[in-house]
Amino acid sequence: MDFDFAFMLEAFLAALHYLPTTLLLGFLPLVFGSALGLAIALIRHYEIPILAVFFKWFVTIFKAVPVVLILLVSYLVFSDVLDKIANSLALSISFRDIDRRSIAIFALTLYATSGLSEIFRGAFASIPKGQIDAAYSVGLTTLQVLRRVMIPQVIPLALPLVNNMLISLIKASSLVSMVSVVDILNGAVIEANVNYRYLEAYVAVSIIYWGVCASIEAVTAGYEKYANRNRRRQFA
Amino acid sequence: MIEIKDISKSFGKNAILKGMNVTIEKGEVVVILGPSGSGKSTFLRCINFLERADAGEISIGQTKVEFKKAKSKEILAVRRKTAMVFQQYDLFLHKSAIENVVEGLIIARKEPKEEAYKKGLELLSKVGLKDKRDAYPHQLSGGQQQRVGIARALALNPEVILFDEPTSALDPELVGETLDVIKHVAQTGVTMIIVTHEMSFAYEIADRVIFMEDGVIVEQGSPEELFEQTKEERTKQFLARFSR
Repeated sequence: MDFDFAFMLEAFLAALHYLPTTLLLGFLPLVFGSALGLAIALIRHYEIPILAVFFKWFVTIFKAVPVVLILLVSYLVFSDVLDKIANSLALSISFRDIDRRSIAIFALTLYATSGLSEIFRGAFASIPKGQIDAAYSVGLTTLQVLRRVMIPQVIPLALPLVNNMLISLIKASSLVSMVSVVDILNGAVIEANVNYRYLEAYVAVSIIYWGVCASIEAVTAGYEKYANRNRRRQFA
Repeated sequence: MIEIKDISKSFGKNAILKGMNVTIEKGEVVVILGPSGSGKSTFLRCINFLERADAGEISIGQTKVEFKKAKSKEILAVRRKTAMVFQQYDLFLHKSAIENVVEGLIIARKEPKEEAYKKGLELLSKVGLKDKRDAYPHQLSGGQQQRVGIARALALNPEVILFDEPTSALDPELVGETLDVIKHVAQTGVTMIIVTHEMSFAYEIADRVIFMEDGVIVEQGSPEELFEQTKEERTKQFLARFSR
């Protein structure tokens, strides 16, 4: 078996061209998912009627469905429903004009939201209850307790898991070729379609994924060290 | 003056407080004794609405509230007239000693930072921890953490401080320093309700001792009356288990 390093480099550069797409598909769902996941975690933590039950089911469903199916179902639903809605509202948008990446971002956000809401919910639950009582006892309001006592402790607790989620999202974004988005994997595969040197293309893309994920890991490890300086032995 | 009327509280079918009436004069130190499960802690936690009592009312100074109907504004008003010292200290773990003390002043009372820190430092000196102002809870011993907890309660200058078994979680040799601080505070005329199992401490510090069991007051009186001229058989049994 011969391995064409020159072509690997070519595929590498071709794939690198689509790196912004892959990063977009990782970071945007993480940002949206963190905001929505935090909201869901709070709704469930404070047991807000109806909504808490609704989101419990939302999370239960999306946690158990493979990303690729969320992606495909979103695509089909969008393609079917969007034109109909646009028609009935006399809007001049149609499915053909929509950036396929937004569908991928939508689907990955659903996946991220369910995962991140569980991460935040776990972190909220692990704050010792006594501290929250103490905060109320010094006269803080519910919102002040959340902002001054809970959130500052939840973030460093959740961070390693949020980091994992980002890495999962970056890797899950490799599935978006199924809804005809060109990301780094698809970019390399397109290059290899000419000469069937898929192995070189796959290795080239693997290197990029590894580089991206290792950098994320390094940045969060640094931040964690900084954020944890005051809470070593917190739960000792 | 603090007046608690007819307070009752159940957890499910389990009645913990069964209509207690307690009146506390300004500057009075009241110690509550009783076997575990008698409702002592629940009583304290109901006073500042950490638990919501099912019935009864409380008046502290000008504020008068029915436990069951209290709205969040009224709850906040009661909480801002009370302070609590917890069994497990329950300091804010992400804040230094001084930040723990000033949190209520700056955030709840909206006091200027500079003044709050000045007051906070004074209180830390009072509990003997001036040099630990920037230490985080994990860097302090249990006794030191509890003293920060006491300073945090004092900072609020409350009408009453509620002590919920303040030394029960401490190593025996750290109990003394914490009790000394509480005694010192009591001498300054702060109104206190203390739940404790430290009998000699209770005898020494209390103006009045309440013995409660099963959610009702069995007997109350001055320490001499309760410890030396005990009337109720049940109180005698309880006290017999402690050798002073």
